[in-house]
Amino acid sequence: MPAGPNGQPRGAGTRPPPGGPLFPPCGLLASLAAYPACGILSDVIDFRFYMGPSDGSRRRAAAAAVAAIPEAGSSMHLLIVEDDQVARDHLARALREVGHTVDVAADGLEGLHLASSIALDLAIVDRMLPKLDGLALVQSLRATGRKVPVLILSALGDVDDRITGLRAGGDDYLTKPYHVSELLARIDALARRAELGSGEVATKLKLADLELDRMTRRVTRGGKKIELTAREFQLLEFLMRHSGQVVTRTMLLEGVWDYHFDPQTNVIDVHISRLRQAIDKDFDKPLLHTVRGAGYSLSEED
Amino acid sequence: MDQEQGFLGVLTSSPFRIAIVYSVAFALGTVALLSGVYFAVSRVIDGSADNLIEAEVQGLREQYLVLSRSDFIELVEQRSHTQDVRGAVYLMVDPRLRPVAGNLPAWPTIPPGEGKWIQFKAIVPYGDQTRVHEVRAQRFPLPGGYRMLVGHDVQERQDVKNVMMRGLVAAVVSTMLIGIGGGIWMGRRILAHAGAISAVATEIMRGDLSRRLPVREAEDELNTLAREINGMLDKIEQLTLGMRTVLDSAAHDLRTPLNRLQSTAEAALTDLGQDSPERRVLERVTAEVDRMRSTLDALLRIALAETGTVAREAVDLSALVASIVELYAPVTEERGIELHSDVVAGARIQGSRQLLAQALANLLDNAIKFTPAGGHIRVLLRADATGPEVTVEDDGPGIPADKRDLVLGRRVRLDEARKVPGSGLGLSLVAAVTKLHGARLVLADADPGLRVSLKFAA
Repeated sequence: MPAGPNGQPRGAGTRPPPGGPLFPPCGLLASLAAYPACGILSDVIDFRFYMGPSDGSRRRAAAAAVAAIPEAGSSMHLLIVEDDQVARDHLARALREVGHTVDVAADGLEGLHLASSIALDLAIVDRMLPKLDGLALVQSLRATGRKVPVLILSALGDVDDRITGLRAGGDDYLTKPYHVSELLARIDALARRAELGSGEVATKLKLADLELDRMTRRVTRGGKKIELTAREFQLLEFLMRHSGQVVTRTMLLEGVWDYHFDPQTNVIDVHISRLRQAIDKDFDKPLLHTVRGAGYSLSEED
Repeated sequence: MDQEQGFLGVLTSSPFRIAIVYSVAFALGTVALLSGVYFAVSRVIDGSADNLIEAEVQGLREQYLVLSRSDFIELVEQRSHTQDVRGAVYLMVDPRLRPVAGNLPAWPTIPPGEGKWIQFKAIVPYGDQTRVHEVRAQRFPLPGGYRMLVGHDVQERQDVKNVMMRGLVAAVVSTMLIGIGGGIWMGRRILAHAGAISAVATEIMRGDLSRRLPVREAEDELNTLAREINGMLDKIEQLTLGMRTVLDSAAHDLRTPLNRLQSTAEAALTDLGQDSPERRVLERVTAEVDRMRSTLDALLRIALAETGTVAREAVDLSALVASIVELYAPVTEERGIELHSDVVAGARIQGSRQLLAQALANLLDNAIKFTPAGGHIRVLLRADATGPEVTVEDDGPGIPADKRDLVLGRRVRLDEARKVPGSGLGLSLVAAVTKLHGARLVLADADPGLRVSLKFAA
C-alpha cells in the first residue's frame, strides 16, 4: 500500500467507494488531504474524534496525529460484515473518513459472497451473524484459499473464544465494545503484516538513524550503541515493525507479553517511558511518540 | 491406579490379590485331599504286609517246634528263595548273629528293645538283583540262641508315599502357578480398563467435559460403573453447556448495546467542534462505557472460570510469575515501591495461562494500589512436593482478619478502599481462577499488610 507524498493517503477522497459513500468524505483526513474547504475541521487534526476521550492540549494531539498519518492512512478496500446496523454504519463511516473504501454486508452469506468475489485488502467480520456464522464464514473463505486478512469482532466472552476465532482463520480478534482507534490501529497492523508476507522478517530494522539487529540483538542510534533489557528490545522490535503506525497499549500487551487483559495500572506507559529514555533522551529528534487517546507510534515525523 | 506402576501395579491390584487368596485355598485343599488318599492307601498296604508277616511268624514258630533245626533251616532257605510271596524277607542267625539261612546278608543293627516291629534299610533280593529297600519286620528268638527275622519289603509303600508327595508338591505348585498367572492376567485386564478410566477421568477433571469413560463389551461391575458415571457426565456437561450458553448470551446481549453506545458516541464526537459543550458529555459517556466494559469483562471471566469450561494447557508457572513481575517492576519503581521477587524455576501446572496471568496481575494491581511510596511488595514462588505456591505480600493497610472472607465475595470493597479506584472484582476473579485450578487461596496478615497466597496441588 504505497503512501502519497508526505505520507498522506493517496486514495483519500479521490477514490470514492463503489456505491457511493454513506457520508460525504468530509471527515478528518479526507479534509486534510483533498477537501480543504470541508468545514472547520480542515485545519484541525485530532485523532480524538475517533480515538476516544482526551484531555490533552490540541496542539500536542495534532502533532501526534500527524506522526501517525504516513502508514495509518493508506487507503484500503475493506469489507465489514456486521448485522448490527448502528455499529456497522458508524464503523463504515469512520473507516471511510480515514480514506478507506468500504463495502458492507449484513449477514454471513452476503459477506462470504462479497469476500470471495471482490478484491479486498481486509475483512472485518462479526462473530455472530445471521444465515452464516462469522467463524463459518472465515473457515469457508480460508477453505477456498483466500488469504485476505480477517479481523474478527466478537460480542462473546474472551480467552477461549479468541483462540477459537484465530484457529478458524481469523488474523486478529477484537471484543466489543471497542474504540475505533483500537480497531484502526489493528487494521493497519494487519495490512502491514499481509503486505510484508507472513514469513520473513528482515534481520535488521531501521528507522531514521535508529537501527535494530534481530540477530546480534544490538540496537544503535546514530551509530551509538543503546543498552536495552530483553523486554525493552522486544518492545522496540514490535514498535519498529509497526513504525509509522499507531500501536495501542492492548496491542503491545498482546504482541510483546502475550497477555489478553487490561491491567488496572498503567504498566505499559511506564515501560514505554523507559524505552523512550533509552532511545530518545540523548538525541534531538524524538522517534517514539504518544498518540493521545490511542497509544504510541514510532515514527520519523514529529 | 496409575499405569506407570506397571508390574508392581498388577501385583497390588485387587484381582491379583483375590486370585492369590483363591489359589492358596485351592492348594490347601489339594494338600488335604492328597494327604487323605495317602494315609488311606498306606494303611491298606501296611495292613496287608503286616498280616502276611504275622501269619508267617506264626507258621514258622509252629514249624520250628515240629522240625529239626536242619530241616527248619532248609525250610527258611526254601521260603527265602521262592518268589511266591514277592518281597518276603527272612533271616535266621546263630547266637553270634551270623546268618544261617535266609535272604538277608546281615542281621540289622537295631538297638534291642525296640518293640515287636522294626523298620530298616537292607540289601534285599529283587528278581535276580539286589537293592537297598525299606524293610518292615518282626524278630523272634528261637531255642538254642538262634534268632529269626521275618519281614517284608515295604519299599512299594515308600514309593507310593514318594509318588504321592511328588504329586502333592506338583499339584500345589501348579495350583499356585495357575492362580498367579490367572491373577496377573485378570489384574492386567482390570488395570488396563481402570487405567483407561482414570486417564479419561483426569482429562475430564482438566476441563474436557466431552470425554467419556471407556465401556467394554463385557458385562462387569467396572463397565456398569463406567456407564453410570458416563450418564452423570452427560448431565454435568448439559448443565455446564447450559451455563456457558447463558453466559455467552449474556455477554452478547450486553456487549452489543454497549458497542452501539460506544460507536454512536464516538461518531457523534467526530461531528462536534473542538470546544462544543456536548463534547464533554460524550467523552463522559465513552469513559463510562470503558468502565462498564472492564466490569463486564471481569464478571464474565469470573463466571467463565466458575463454569470450569476454560481450555487448559501446560503452564510454566515460573515463567509466568517472572513475566508478571517484570511487567509490573517499572510501575512499582516509578511509584517508589520496592518490588522484591523470588521465583523458583521449573514450576509447571495445568491451567489457563491467560486467567492465571490476570489473577496475578490483579494481585499486583491491588498491592500497588494499597502500598504507599516507600513501601514494599514481595512476590514469591516456591515449590515443594505438595505443589507450587505463589505469594504476593505488601506492607499496606492489609485486610482485617474478620473481613478477609468477605472481600473474596463479589463486589465487596471495604470502606477504606472506596477512595481507591477499581471495580472491586479483582480478588473475586483471583478466587474464581484459584478454584478453577484446584488451588487454595489464603489471605493472611503480612504484619503489616496483606499476604495472598495461591497454593496449587502438585
